[in-house]
Order: sequence, then C-alpha cells, then structure tokens
Amino acid sequence: MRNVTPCPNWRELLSAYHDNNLSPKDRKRVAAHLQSCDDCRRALAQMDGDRDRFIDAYMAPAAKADLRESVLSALRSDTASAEAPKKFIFWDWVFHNISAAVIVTLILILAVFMSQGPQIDETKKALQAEQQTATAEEAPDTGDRLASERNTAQRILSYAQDTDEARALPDNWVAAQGNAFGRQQNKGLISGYTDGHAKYFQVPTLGTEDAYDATTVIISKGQKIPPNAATPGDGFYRVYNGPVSANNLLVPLDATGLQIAYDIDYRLQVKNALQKSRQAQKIISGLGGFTMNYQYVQDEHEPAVAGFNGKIPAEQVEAALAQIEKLGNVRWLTIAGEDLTEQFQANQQEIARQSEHAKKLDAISSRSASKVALGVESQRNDAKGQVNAAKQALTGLTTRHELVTISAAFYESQPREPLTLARATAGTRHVLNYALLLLVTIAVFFLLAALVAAPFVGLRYWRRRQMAS
Amino acid sequence: MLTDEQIVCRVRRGDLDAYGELVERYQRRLVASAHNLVGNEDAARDLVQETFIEAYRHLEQLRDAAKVGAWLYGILRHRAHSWLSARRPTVSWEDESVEEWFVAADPAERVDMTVLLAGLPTADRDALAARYLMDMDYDAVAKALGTTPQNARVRVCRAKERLRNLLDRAEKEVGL
Repeated sequence: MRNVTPCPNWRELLSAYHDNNLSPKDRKRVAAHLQSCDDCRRALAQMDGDRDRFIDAYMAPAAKADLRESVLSALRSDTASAEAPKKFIFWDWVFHNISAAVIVTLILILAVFMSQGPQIDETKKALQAEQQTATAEEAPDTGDRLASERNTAQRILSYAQDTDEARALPDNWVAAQGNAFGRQQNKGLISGYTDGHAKYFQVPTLGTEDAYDATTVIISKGQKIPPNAATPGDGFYRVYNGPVSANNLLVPLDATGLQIAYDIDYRLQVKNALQKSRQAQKIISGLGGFTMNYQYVQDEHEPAVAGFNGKIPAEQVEAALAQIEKLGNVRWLTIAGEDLTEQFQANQQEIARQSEHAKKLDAISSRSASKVALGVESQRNDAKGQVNAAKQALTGLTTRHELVTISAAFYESQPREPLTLARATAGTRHVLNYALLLLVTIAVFFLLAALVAAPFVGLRYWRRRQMAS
Repeated sequence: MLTDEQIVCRVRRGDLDAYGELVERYQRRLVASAHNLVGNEDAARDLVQETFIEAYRHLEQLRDAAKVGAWLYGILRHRAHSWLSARRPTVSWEDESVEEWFVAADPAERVDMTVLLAGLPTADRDALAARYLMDMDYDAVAKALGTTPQNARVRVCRAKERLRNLLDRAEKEVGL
C-alpha cells in the first residue's frame, strides 16, 4: 500500500479522531473534512491497518501468557514470608506494647489523680481556712487586737526604758545595748534581736512574720558623732504602735534624714501590704523627701527607701508618720538606731594604714631617681586614691551612723489571692505535684503516639491476619 | 463481570483470588506492552510477573482503582526502563540491521513483526504501547508518560506516523 500523507493541518486531529479522543465538536469537524478529503480518508484507513498490525504483533505472542498461577503462588509465598516470625512478631510486639502502654498509663493517671486529688483539695481547704482565720483576725483590728498590740508595744517601751543603758542616757534618749536576744519568732510574744549595740523588737502578734511587709522609717537623730567619739551604746530603739508625736518620739526631731524601707517576702507576695509600703514611700516623697530603690541580690529582698535630706522640722516627720498611720493596717511602727561603729572603726584603721603608706611612698619618691620615682609615684597615687576612697566611705558611714530608724509593718487586710496551681505547688507537696505533671505529660505523649500509630498498626496487623487466613 | 474497582476492593480486603482475576484481565496487554518496550518476549513475561507482584505489595498506593490498568502500565514501564538500562539490548535496532533480518522469502512467515517494530524509537513504542496495547486514553497515556494530555496526543500522533513510515519501508524492502 502506498504511503498516504494526510493534510498537514489535520494530522493531529485525524490521529485523535482515530483514537476516539476528540471533543464532539472536533469530531464533527474531522468527520466533515473526511467526507471531502480522499488522502485523509485513506490515511485513516492506513492507521487502522497499522494499529491492527501493531496489536497483532504483540498480542498474538502474549495471548499464551498465563501468569495467574505464577503470580499468585509468588504472592502466597510472599505473604507466608511476611508472616515469618521476624516481621510479623515485630508488629505484633509494637501493637501489643502500645496497647499495654496506654492501659498502664491510664491506670497510672487514675491512681495518681485518686491519690493526689484529695490532697490538693486538702491544701486548698487549708489555705482557705487560713485565709478565713486571717480575715477573722484582721477584722476587729480597731478593737481588742489593736489594744493588745498597743499594750505589747507599751511593755516593750517600758522594758527598753528600764535598761541601765537607757537610764544612763539623757532624758530624750533610750539606749539599748545588752545581751544578744537571738531571733525569736514566737507568735504573740515580744521578740527581738540585737546587733551588739542596738536592739530591734518586733511584735509578731498577727500571723507569721512571712505575711507582712515591713516598712522602715529611718530618722536621723541629727547629731554628728565625732569620728573618735563613737562609743558602744549609742544605738537606741523604740517600738511604737500609736499616733506619733514629738513627745513620744524618743529622738530629737531636728533630723537630717528620714527613710522608709520595706521588705517583701517573696514566698507569699502580700500585695496589699506591699502597696501600703509604696504609699508610705510616696508620702515621704510628697513631703519633699527622696525615694530610691535597690536590690539585695543575695536574699532577693527589694527594699525601697524614702527619706529627707537635711534637717527637717519635727512637724514634718509627725505629718509623715501620721499619714502613714492613716494608711491603715499598720502592724507596727518602730524607731530604732543603726550603729555602724565597727565599720567606722575599721574604716578609720584603713585610712590610717593607707595614709602612712602614702607618706612612706612620698619620702621614697623625694629621694629616688626619676625612673624609680615614676613607679613609686604611681604607687603613691594609688595609695592616695585609696585614702580618699576610705575618707569618702568614712563620711558615708558617719552620716549613716546618725540615722535612727522607724519601722512600720503593714499587714494584709485584703483577701489573699485565690489558690492557684502555682501556690498549691509552692507547698511541701510541690515535688509530688511536679511528679504528677510529669506523669500527665508522659501520659499525653503516649496517648498521642498510640492514637497516631494505632490505625496504621491495626490495619497492617489486620491485613496480615486476613492474608494469612 | 466485576469492574476493576470491585476487584481492587476485594483484593484490598485480602482476596488473593480476586487479584488472580486482575492478573488474567491485564496480563496479555501488559506482556504485549512489555514485549514492545524491551523487545524480548521472555523478559517481558518476567517483567509483567514482577509488575503484578510489586503492584500487589503497593496496592494501597493506587488512588483511583478504576485506572488500575494505567497504574499497572506505569509500574511495568518503570521496570522495563530499569531492565533496559541494566543491560544492553540483545537486538540492535539500527536501521541497516533491520534489512538483514527480513530476507525476502515468504514475508508472512519470515518477518517477525515484533523485531521490525523494535526499530521504532523507544518513546514511540512507549506511546503506541500505552495507546494501542493498553488502550489508554490520552489522559492515561499522559500520566503514564509523565506529560500533559496535549503532549500525549502529539506524541501518539508522531509515533503513528513513524510506525507508518517503518511499515511503508518494510513493505517496499521485504514485500511485507
């Protein structure tokens, strides 16, 4: 048969027509063209013939192919090998282990919740009870309790004034130097401690010491102490629990400084008391005083300080203290001295040592050759610098030595924050709670892993079973 | 008679006999295609058997059960190309050698059409096997060849033309 070439523009369409892969519209077009074109019609017929030849050429030998049994027997042995111990037992093992893990984890969670749940409730109840008790105690703070505290304060005052040191001082001073008290925190009892010269008393009649936020007001006693005149017994204190006046302040009020500081116990974060302390600080600054904040890194306390620079009239201090009093929830106010004699003396010795060293260096440098003198000069300058630094420190110490502190503590009158997990875990059970948290995390992990893996593993397992059967 | 989808469904449920039916249904077309692709009948049979076994193992990857034929052809084609690249062809498809094989005696008996058609370029044999032997539409051909339906149409058309030229030459030279 002569090779017939179809019309160039119709080649592809004709081929698609031949393959019956045309849209109805194109199909009609090609059919119409075929009616009028001999070559294309013959080319189409050739395509038919070629296709038959092509198919016959391959289909004829393939007709005798019978792969059914060989394929199936291969697959059967394949399935059997799939059931061979290694692979099958592995998935079996995974499937059963995940199931077991889920069950064990669920039991663990249940067990932990059943044992921990009530304990958490107990913690909650205990805290609520404590809160209620505290509220009940704080409620009549203008009644018996306040009177009781005042009595206590009076007793402390009497005690303080009854010491030899106190009697030895001028009328308007109370000195305190005596035995170390040690730190006592007996509830309802007077407790105090001494730093060797001054005594500090606290009246922890409400709650524990943890629960308050102490504010310290420091008033300078306004007398410069000559560096060499520092003597033991200069410290003094007074516990005050009532309106402040010039009469019952045991220090001259022509003071040069006034400070307020507070300490926060971070374990409980008594916010209301903290707020009061901040307000006390503002009162001082509102009266022309200064404020400053600093941090003790070591014990994580964050005292804030407020004070007056220079001499201030007694009335102003009175006004400040009266306003602090008005803030309410005042646990106690104390006035106490701060004695830094030891530091002062140490500083003096350092000054003397450095001065002598500087003098020696001066003498050497005046005698020595220039090269040596340079080195000596440098050393001498160092020594002079150290002397200056020590002198400055001495000035600071002298100023601080004249400070007298008045401490005010505010108690928390607002309801405490509701129990949170953080607070619940803050207690002695926190280890158990963290363990619970860890277990829950592990359980969630296992559950998720099981949920994700189970369908796949299950399907595979099921199919293996099916094939095996 | 079960449709391809029904058979695949049964196989997926673990019915190995149903797979036997699928083998029955496609084995000849696949053997023919494989023969066309690799030019060796025995190898074609082996390749198809391997194809069926591989397909069974990966049946979960078959997305459209109605197109199981095209899917099988895809696996076969891949295997055939691997087979071809793994060993040099046993027959040469150079044009001049074609003449040696077709001694002008009794063409009906002597001319081995499969050897003659092996003279077609691989791409053309690929397209013709998919179109004629597997009876796939252009969409399926395109998928099997990894191209677009439009391109598949062009490739099939060209393959047909080259087939025509080859046959025309054979007709003239050996009196087919």
